[in-house]
Amino acid sequence: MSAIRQIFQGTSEIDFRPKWRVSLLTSGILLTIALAFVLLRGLSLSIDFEGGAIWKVPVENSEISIAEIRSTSEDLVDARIQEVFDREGNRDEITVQVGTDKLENSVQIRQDLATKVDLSSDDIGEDTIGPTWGDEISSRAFRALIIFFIAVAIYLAWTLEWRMAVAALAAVVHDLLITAGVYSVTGFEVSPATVIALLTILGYSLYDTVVVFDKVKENEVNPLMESVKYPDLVSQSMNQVLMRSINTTITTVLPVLSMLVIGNFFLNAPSLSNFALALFIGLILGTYSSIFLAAPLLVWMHRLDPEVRQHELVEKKRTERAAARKSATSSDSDDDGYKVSNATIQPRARKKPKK
Amino acid sequence: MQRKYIYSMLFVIAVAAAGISYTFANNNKPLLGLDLQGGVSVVLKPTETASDGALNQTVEILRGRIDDIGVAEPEISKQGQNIVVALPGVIEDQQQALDRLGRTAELRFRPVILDLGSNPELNLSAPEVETSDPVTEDIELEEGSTTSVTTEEEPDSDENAVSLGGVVEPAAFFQDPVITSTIPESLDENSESTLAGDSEEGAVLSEEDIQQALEQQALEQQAQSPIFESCLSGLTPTDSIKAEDYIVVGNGDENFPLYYCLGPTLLTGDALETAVATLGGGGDSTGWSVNPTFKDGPDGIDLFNAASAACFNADPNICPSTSNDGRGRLAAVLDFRVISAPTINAEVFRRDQIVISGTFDKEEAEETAEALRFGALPIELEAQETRTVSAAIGGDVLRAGVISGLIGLSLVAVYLLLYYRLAGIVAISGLLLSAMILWTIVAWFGEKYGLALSISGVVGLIVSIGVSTDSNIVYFENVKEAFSRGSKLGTSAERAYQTSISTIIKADVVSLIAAVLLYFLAVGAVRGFAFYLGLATLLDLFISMYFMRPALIWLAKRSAVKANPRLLGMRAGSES
Repeated sequence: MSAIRQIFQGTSEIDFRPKWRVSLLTSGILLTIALAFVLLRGLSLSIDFEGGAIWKVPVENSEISIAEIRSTSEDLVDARIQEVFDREGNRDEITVQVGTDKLENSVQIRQDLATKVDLSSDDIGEDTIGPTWGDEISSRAFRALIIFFIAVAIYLAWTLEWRMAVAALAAVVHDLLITAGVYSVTGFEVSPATVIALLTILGYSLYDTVVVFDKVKENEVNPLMESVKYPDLVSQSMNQVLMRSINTTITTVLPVLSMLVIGNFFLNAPSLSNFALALFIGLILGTYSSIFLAAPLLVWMHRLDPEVRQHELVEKKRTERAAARKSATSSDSDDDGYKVSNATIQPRARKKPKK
Repeated sequence: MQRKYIYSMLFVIAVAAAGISYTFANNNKPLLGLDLQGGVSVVLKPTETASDGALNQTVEILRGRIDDIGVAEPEISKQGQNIVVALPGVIEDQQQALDRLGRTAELRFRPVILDLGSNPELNLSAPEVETSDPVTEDIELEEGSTTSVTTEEEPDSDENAVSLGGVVEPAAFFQDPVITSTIPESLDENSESTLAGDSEEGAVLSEEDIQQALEQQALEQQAQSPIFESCLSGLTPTDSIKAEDYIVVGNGDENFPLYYCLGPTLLTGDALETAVATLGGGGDSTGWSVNPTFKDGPDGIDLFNAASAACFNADPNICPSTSNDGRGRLAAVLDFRVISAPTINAEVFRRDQIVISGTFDKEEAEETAEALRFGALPIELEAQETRTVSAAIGGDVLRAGVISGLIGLSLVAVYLLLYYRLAGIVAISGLLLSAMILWTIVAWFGEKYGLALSISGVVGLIVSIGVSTDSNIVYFENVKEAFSRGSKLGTSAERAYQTSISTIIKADVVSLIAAVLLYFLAVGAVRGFAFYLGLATLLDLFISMYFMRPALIWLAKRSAVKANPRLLGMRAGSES
């Protein structure tokens, strides 16, 4: 209880270092599983990427609805069904599009459609369709992404530092891959909307990491933090942004969660909930990875730096000496810096936080 | 000091209110995307069997053209042997775009053999009409033609009537554009390129002078019988695209038609690298012109220069003299329409210094440049009837999305109020204000540029709400931290803003980089997403700076709030 209260009050004193070991391991395992699924099982791409078949059902003299057409065959559950009107606004035909995975049943589907509207199979126009999201779009989007990563790396290296840039990008790749992994595991169809969801996650994850790292950066130059070792400094920064991260996750995820729940259970809109799921997972990962992946990566890279190593050795000796000198009063110099930064003048007696 | 904050808040509120009133006054509505509202679709049918590769290539070129028009998020796909293009919106608004799209945009440069003036049928009857006019064989043909248009001109001007059409409109003559080089290649051409001014000078010539010039022109043409005859062998305005044919085509202008007999194609749009529309770029002209840039080397500018040399020297077998200064003219023919038939006033051009000046207005110049930029479609397409298609995502799904989204947002609002109290109101008002401004912009772009709001755009916006909320949260948490360290509430709010805005800007710049790069480098839906991302991010910065900050600082200085910091969701520090 009190730990939660502390978080809400922004006075939590969680030592993230041991948690990072667990989270790095978890992320590593998840990443491996996701990668394995994406590579081995692949993703099921929607008609927009793959193309497929289209049937044109003439309905000039019929009142049949889209829902009725959809109920014709099980293969049409997630088919793309549209009404087509002529210039005068009269309904002309209903087009039914299915992806390549349904092509093996195409003869049957066509026959079923014909039966449904009391026509012969030959009256149902049939054609193949190419992708509306062709390879060209994908490759251009991919190229744009690569350039974006490079630009962002340069920007972050300039405004924060290069290790932070690397850690932020690693966190983004982690979030995207795991989300893609979820699609592979569940077999959900990847549509253009999914790609947009992934781009949204990418943007959000980076955004979140920047907010978190900026706090680290802020603390690096904070005179009160001078004596704090880097891993502790990062860990303390995480405590400071924890409430922000929780609140932001709540406010970002609430609309998506509502779409997921309502879309799935009450309004039966699978395409919506499928899409919301990607966002839900991605947004949570985006916040999680900033604190539990990007931060430890940053600490780790910092430790690898020979200059930092040298500095740490010196620091260590100095703190040992300092500790020896005032060992009677204080236990550890780390804690000192920590408490100062968190304003220990907090009154203790305060009752439970008002929510 | 306090005033400043209030003014800033009022300013943002005024902007939002003005925007939303403007939107409602003009009844602007966002243009919903194909997936949400349906749209119009047209089947483009190749006139002859096309290979798969050619179809794919065509799809890509079409996509480029649509993206050039706006962010409509079109759907373009092959369907059997056809190409289907769908755009969001209604037929009335999109017909023009679809028409433009289907244009082959095949550019060919052909020499002008004969300027027919306003009547293409001049030559139709030519071979059939017998005449006894005792001049030359060539004249015989022409005389025959004149009879069919019943011109009432004097005998000595008959030949003019032939060569320039029954109705010699001086205006027509003056409007003939000129191709000039803005930088002449050699000194020789220097004087020539300034001849572009001739068409202007022409305006002050007397009618007599014109007649004389025309006379001479006609005579010259008679001397070039072989190609001239080809022109008169029963050709009508035609859709023939055979490069080696002599064709008669018009300028496609209903009010002021002009027809030309043109020789075989000398070069095609393939030689072009790009083209832009410029204002006053035509040397002498102050109007709009099109500046094509040719590719380097033998497949580009060399071809053009071969053609221009022939016309400049009025080579009687290729490009006879058809202008009053004895130069040949080279017509640019786009989709069987002469967009310009300029006199060539230099022999050699540099590839990026060519100007097609004419009678373009802004729109024409831009349309022409655009068509040239995206090059010819590899196949000729014939548009079938434009039809309306219903939304791909059912209305029920849309409703589900909107309802659940609103419920989610209400929950966010409740949470913010519970956690941040009055500061929560600042956050919610900020969101509402930015929603109003966003609606205004999206509706305006929808009306003006066909910007479509598709499901991906909607979701992008929902997430951007999260990001905007985060700016508030980052700020509030920093205020809280400063306050718990013992600063006064007002001071905390002021100080925390400095660190917060620096964080917000850093994070938002990342989003902006993403938006700009994706917008310019990607195509289709990704581009639409980038647009919304960029827009929402800029708004976030705007609201953070001009609303969130003054609103919170102003609140923090109220005595009621000072007395009870919990009203701002703050827990007391050492003071208060």
